[in-house]
Amino acid sequence: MRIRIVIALILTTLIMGGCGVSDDDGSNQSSGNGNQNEVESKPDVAAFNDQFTENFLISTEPVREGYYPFKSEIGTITMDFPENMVVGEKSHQIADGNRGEMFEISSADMNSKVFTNHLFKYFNFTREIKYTKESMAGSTGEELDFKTMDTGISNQYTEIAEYQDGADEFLATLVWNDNHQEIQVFTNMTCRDDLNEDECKKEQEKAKQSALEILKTIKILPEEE
Amino acid sequence: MSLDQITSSNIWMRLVDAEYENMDEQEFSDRFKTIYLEETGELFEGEIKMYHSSDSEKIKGINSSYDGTAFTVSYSEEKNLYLISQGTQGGSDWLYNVEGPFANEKFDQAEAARTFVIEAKDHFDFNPDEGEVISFNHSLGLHNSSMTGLSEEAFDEVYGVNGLTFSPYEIISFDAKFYNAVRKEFDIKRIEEIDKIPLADLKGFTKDYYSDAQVTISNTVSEDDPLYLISEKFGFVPFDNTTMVDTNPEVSGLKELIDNIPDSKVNDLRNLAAAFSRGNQKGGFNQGLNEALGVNITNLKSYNAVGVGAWYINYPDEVDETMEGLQDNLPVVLENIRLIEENSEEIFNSLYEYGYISKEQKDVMIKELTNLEKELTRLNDAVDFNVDMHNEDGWFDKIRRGIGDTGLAAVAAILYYKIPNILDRIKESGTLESLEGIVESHSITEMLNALAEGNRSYVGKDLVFTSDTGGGDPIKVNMSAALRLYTQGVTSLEVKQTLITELETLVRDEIEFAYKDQRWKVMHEIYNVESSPSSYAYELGQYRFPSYKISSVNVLHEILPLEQADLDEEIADMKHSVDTGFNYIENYRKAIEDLFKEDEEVSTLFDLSRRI
Repeated sequence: MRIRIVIALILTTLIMGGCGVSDDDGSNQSSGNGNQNEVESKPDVAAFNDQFTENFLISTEPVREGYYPFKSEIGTITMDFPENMVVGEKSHQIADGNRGEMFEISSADMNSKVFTNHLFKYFNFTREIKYTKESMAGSTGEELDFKTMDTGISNQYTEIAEYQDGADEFLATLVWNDNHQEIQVFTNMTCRDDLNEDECKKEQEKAKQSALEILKTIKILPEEE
Repeated sequence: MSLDQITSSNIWMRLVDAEYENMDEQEFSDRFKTIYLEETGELFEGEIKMYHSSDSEKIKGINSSYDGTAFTVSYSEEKNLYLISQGTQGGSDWLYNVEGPFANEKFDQAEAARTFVIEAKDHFDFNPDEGEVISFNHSLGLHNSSMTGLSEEAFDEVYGVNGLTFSPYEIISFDAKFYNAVRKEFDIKRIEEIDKIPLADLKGFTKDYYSDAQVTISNTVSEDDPLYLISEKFGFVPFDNTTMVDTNPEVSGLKELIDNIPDSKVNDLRNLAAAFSRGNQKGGFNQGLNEALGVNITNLKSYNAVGVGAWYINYPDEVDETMEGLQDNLPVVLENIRLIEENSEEIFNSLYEYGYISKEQKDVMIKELTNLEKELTRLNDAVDFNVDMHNEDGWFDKIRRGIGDTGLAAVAAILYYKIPNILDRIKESGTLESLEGIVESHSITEMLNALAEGNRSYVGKDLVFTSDTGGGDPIKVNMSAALRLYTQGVTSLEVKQTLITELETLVRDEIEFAYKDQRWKVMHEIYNVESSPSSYAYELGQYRFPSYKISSVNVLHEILPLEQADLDEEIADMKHSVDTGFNYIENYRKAIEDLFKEDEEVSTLFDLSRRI
């Protein structure tokens, strides 16, 4: 109880006081999966060179060329993670009781021809899937035409919708199972400014294929007790 | 009667306040009609259907502390769907305020609100083209509803009282098209870069971006509401239709005080809240504290149980962890406290001048914050001295050499005794209770009172009329309570009256029936005897007169009428009691009506209240 008062006091007075606090950059390391990869055995790729991303990679052995096994912090999402992408620490959020997790993965090369972002949202809700689709349509402001994607993963369903806004290409992906778990992924692919229209289209198509390579490997795991 | 009345502030605000009681459909419908009557003087004769988020399997799944009620109101050709989202209520909601909107570390309540809106439309089979979808909110409720309203245009109108808005940092991951717009506008590629955008620019862009939204959002805010003022400082986006109201004229507004927080420190505060939030999500409150301040409270229990010497002999890992945590985090905490202490004169003088705390409380706070800073400095020094415990001449080495360690004792004692004692003295001063007045300005009642006109005011969730009749001090009458007493009293007496009538009938019927039944049996037997005397020869003693035969029998028997066989006296007493009750209630009503002679509405309220 006393400590609660300490917190209340500190936060209240800090907020009301008009005083400064430290210049601490506030970076706090997520414990992730507690991966303890040895420095010397780490592959020299962007994903492993980013300390926060490394926490989500469960092995230094690639699952296939250019992809490493990924597991989300609460352990309900796995996928093949591309070596040239990173997880954004500021985007990472966890809902009460591990009932949800959100994070963004993006191209590590800020100057790539097409910059790709995937915003992942995992929920363990019992809502009907039509509500989720409605909600995703609301968030994107688009009439999403979801089409089934064959992933070869049993006991789960994957549907994907494509749309455009100006020169940008977007994907909205929904993965769910019969156990009330669902993952929404919002993907955008933006061309570098110096690309002309044709080049942009061509590079976006390549980026889309790469994105699909990731999206089709998304697997929902049961919640850990 | 029109559905438009429902969006008048005194009606919807009272509805939101009442919704906290988690009523069932009948109770909610009655309460709605009562509030409507009290505020408009008219009886609402439409139909109300209700659906609570706790009845939704979908919302339960989200497990987010989100609480809301959806209801449809139909009258004549009109039908609207309304959603009430509760605001900051219990500890879990305040925690969510820190972790969600401020720290941007949680997102589930807004998602719950988003799902509930979609589901409510489905549940009521409500077609938005045929009626309006309107959202009423308090505090955190507005935050959830406005995000859904702006992102998906799920509502036609959104109303908030002391409503928390939302931060650009938060809505960016909620509204995919807004995120895309931010990327283009500020040439950023991912959420990670959002801190590069000056807060004022991002806030301005967010406000402009949503200014074209179809939904109308109105927020009525107390000038003293701490949550709103802090959120404004944190870059939360204000709505165009924001009305500021001085709900507590006895104190000056907090705005100036909060405005003094340097913009450069807002991110630090957000990071502190985020650190706490991440820890809290991983391992509860203690873990949150551990992440934010570096003190593992659980470990200190061992210290208290065994004493300092045994603590680091028996629990070296705990000591190790405590020291390392303190070494990592204490400097930041100390710096924060030091800065507060340096400014404590200004802070607490302001709070004293604004009327929130007394002079004594101000003095205690300034003195004890100085003590707190002193102890934390000592703690910091002790930790610096002791943290290399495993090195030569560290703690364990000293223990081995039997030297002991006064530094560790100092650390533990400061953590376990000195700081709590300081906090106890602060607590005893009543300062925290006095500051609760600030939180009161977040309540709906204070806002209703500030907006009330004429002789109206509010106590809790009740409407109060004030009378100046007859001079002297004004007389306040709790009209809601009076109407409840009247309607419930009259109803109860009417029920009693009906029961007495039933009893009376029953008593009469039963006794008369029994009397008639018995009389019939006797008469029937007399008839049998008289009509067939030979059958009764033995019973009539013919055997004693062998030379005679009974030829006829004439029974002489008088059956007296039923007298003194009722409960008339008791029933009369009961009726008298009911009449007295009615007299009391009618006299009570008359007394109130006399107090408000010029207000014909009062009499109407009494009449109509019985029809709810």
